[in-house]
Amino acid sequence: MSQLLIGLRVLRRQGLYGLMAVLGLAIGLAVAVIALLFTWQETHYDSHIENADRIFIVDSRVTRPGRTEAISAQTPGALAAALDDRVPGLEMKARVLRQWSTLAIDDRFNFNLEILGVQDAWLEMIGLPIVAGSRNSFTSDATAALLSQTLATRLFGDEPPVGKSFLLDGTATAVVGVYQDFPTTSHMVIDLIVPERAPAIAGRGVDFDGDWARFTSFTYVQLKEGTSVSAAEQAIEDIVHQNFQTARWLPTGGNVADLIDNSLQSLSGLHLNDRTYDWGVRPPADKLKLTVFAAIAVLIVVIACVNHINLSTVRSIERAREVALRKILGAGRHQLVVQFLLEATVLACVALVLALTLVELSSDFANDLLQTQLDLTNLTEPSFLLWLLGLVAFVVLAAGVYPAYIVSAVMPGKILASHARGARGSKGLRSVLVVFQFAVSICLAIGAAVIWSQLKYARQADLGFNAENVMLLYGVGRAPESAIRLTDRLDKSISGRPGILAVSASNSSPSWGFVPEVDVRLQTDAPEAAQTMGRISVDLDFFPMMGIEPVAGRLFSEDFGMDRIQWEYQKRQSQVMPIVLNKRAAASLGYVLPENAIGQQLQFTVSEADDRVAEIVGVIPDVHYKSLKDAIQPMIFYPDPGAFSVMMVRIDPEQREAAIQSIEEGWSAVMSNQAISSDFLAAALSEQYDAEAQELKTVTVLSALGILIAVFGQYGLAAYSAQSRRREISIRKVLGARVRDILQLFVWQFSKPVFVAMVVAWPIAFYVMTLWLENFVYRVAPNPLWFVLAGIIALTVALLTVSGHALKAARAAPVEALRYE
Amino acid sequence: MLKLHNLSKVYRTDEVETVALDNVNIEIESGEFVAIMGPSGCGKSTLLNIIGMLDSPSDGDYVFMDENVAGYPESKLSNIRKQNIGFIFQSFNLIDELTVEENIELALLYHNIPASERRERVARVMDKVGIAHRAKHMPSQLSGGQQQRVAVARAVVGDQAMILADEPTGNLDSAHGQEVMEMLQSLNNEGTTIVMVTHSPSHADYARRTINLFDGHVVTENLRAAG
Ligand SMILES: Nc1ncnc2c1ncn2[C@@H]1O[C@H](COP(=O)(O)OP(=O)(O)OP(=O)(O)O)[C@@H](O)[C@H]1O
Ligand SMILES: [Mg+2]
Repeated sequence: MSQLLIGLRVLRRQGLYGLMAVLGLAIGLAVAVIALLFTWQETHYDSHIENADRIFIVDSRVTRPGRTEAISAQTPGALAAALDDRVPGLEMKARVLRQWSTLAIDDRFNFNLEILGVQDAWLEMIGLPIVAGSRNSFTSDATAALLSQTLATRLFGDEPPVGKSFLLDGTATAVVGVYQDFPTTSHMVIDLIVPERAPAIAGRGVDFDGDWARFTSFTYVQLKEGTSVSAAEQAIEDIVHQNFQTARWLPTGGNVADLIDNSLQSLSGLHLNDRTYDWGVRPPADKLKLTVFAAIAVLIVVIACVNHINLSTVRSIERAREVALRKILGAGRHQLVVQFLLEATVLACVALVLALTLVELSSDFANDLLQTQLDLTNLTEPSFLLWLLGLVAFVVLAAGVYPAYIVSAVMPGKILASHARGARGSKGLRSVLVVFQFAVSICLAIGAAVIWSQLKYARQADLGFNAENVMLLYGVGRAPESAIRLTDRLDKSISGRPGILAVSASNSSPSWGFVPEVDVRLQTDAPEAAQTMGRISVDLDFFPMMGIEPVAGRLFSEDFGMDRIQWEYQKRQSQVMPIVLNKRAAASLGYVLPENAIGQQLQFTVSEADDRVAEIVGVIPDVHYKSLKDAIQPMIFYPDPGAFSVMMVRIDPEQREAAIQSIEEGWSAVMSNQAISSDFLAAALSEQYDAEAQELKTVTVLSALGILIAVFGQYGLAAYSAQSRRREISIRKVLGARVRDILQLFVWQFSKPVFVAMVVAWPIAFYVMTLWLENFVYRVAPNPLWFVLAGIIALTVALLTVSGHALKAARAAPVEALRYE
Repeated sequence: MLKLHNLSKVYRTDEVETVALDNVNIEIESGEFVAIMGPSGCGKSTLLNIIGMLDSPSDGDYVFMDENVAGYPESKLSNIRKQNIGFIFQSFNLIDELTVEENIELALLYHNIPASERRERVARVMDKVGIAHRAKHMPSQLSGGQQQRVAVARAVVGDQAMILADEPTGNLDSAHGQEVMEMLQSLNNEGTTIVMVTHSPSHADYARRTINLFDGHVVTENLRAAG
């Protein structure tokens, strides 16, 4: 107890230096606590669901010969119903459907949202917590709906939502219950749940019950405790294999067992498995991001510990006397070590309390940086408290052990006998630690600069088409009506309105990063020679609308019957289909000169039912239909309205407002029950790099924090140095040194470690950032300027920090220091 | 060389006001060797510091080489100081982290003298004070007498016209004290003005004139017959 008091007193006595160490440590710990919270949450997904460890999603891995494998969290729609006592330990099962729908209330609301169509068993399985109304026999009424609290508040404000109604895809639907929002740590987050036979779902005309050919439905199973998961998994896969219709997937025949591989993923393990599903459940935890973030957080804590180590070894001169006296009075070395560790503990605890306050204050900011929702109530979870305890122990050891060792090693006689100059041996270590602090900060700053420049490059790169002033209209493929007629009607409805320059449609937007594939070969080649290429179906206005010019041949046009006839479904089957290649596709077919490809005939196999003869009519440049992370692939463009799922409208920038209104009016004139979902192409393209923008923010903040903490340390060291060099400075001044000369001394003393840090940081940053840049096929080269600039920033900050003390020391009248020698 | 006219120095701290020098009038000619004596606390060091422009007077005039420097700012004083005045202290005031050679060189460092010439001049004075064989040593490895010789070397290496010495022999045994006094005398013989504070009457005898201070006042000035 008395030792604790001494610890507190020591902290107080350290004054400004102590405060700097505590503040720095508090910031470091705040970063660490946020990192821990984040990691804790990522590793505790769905912990609110009682049996999360024995509730499973059945997923499907589909491996088609010659194609990249696809992993889906969905199964054929008929699977859930087919599961029976062949599956050992099966306790409950449920099918869940997920889709986009439009919700409307009068003219107050009309928007698109994702909804779930469920069976009662699912609600029971996950124990959906109801806060108003009820979910009993929910599915007996096809027009009933359950709302999340958030959605209920959004729609109905403070009024009781139960009993209220709204239109869902045009069908009147009544709220029967309100459930607690899904925590952000859920594998699925959804705001509206309806019975799966609700008109919004069943009315789309998809036959889920008889579906053994596609992956349309989520299948949940709950197994009895102690069941062998692999046995259940095998049984389920067997059922799939027995029933699955492979024709669509294996046009040339093949074994269903090679095609489909099902596995059971428990809800508690789902977020941490390595499976990135195409759609429907949260993407798995980004383990690399977690690791890198945790590593940087550790570095920041260590940087903060460095301050304490440095300030306490530098002050060991003063402590040496105390220690020597204690030793003479009989204190053993281990008692002294305990004393020092206790002091470090007091420091760590004070810093932790400050850190928790900082976490509280900065949680919104942290949420934005990490793209998560940190739940601060987790701070008091017993298992999280253990993590915090570990953190404090780490800090005590990192910050306390070395000073304890150094100071407790002093020989009492030596210290008391002479004016000892403190722990000389620790000077080297101190420099190393300061170098370390700055090296980390400089590395992070360079990282930020490289990410920034790549981001800028990616967002401004010439993609080969004009993305400005193009509006994307989503959800065209959703309506039960055939896409051919729908896009045609939308086209006619929107075209010609004020501000609209061109209307076109496609099966994929360049901002989606997804290009469907197809097997292509020259007519003259053997079937084995088929190559997989990206396929983009477009309408006739697409190329001019996008500002793409041919390098050879022609583009699609109304002037050519073979182009237009693709819109007539009955007639087109027997027709040769015109296609346009990108240069890369022409080259990989053997036509390095694009002109030579014109007129060649291809065999074009979309599916077994859609194997057609195509003729190359034009070649365009290699445009970026995916982000700059992916290499441009050989691609073919063909006019096929059947696959359209997005419309692209070029608007007149001069009449932006009018154009947006025109699009909305044109849309709602055709789509009475579906709200418009739109986006600007340029903005959507830019969003492809949101993850990097987020990384940029995080790295920038962490590097700023790193520098800030290092600055605290520098400040303390400068104060100490100005103090301990007073006599030397006075002598120099008596000998004619000007203020400027003394400042130079300080500048050199405090810039040396930063220079060394630069030299250490540069190769490391270069290596790491080169690796990072390799995520991008199209990338900038690391610019030496960033490296120099990061160094200069660190140097400037370091010098500004010490300048106050240096100036004061340099200006002090020389007699003052000399008199009392 | 210099003239103090009605010069006073008052130290004000929170509670007390100490009059360290009270209406002092002193004139020192070029080439003189002056000793300042008096009991502890009478203001000797204060006087020397003001003469050496390390401190400014509270009142009165200080004319140094026909220039009244009493109100000059530190930067200007610093310039005059480094051109004209060398210092020797009782506690040597060598810098522990620098070698003997580097300590001496320090006095030239701020004078815009090229490095080669600096080395030459440092070598010359080290020979002169007989410390050349210790050039690379650290001050802590030298005896007190040797350290003070280094300090003397540092004071003279700049070829300043005046040397101020505050109890230069205070920390030395008599043999070493003698040595330092002889060095000062030979410097004076070469024309350097020397002002020295001392408690030792025998060392004061090296000076041609002794100023006795008491409580901030000049009480007597004794001229010693030349010879
Ligand atoms: N910075 C200061 N603040 C307040 N008082 C001071 C200061 N410097 C000196 N004094 C006071 O001024 C008076 C003269 O001091 P000074 O150091 O000049 O004495 P001294 O004659 O050199 O004494 P000694 O022989 O002990 O060196 C003393 O009373 C001293 O306490
Ligand atoms: Mg004195």
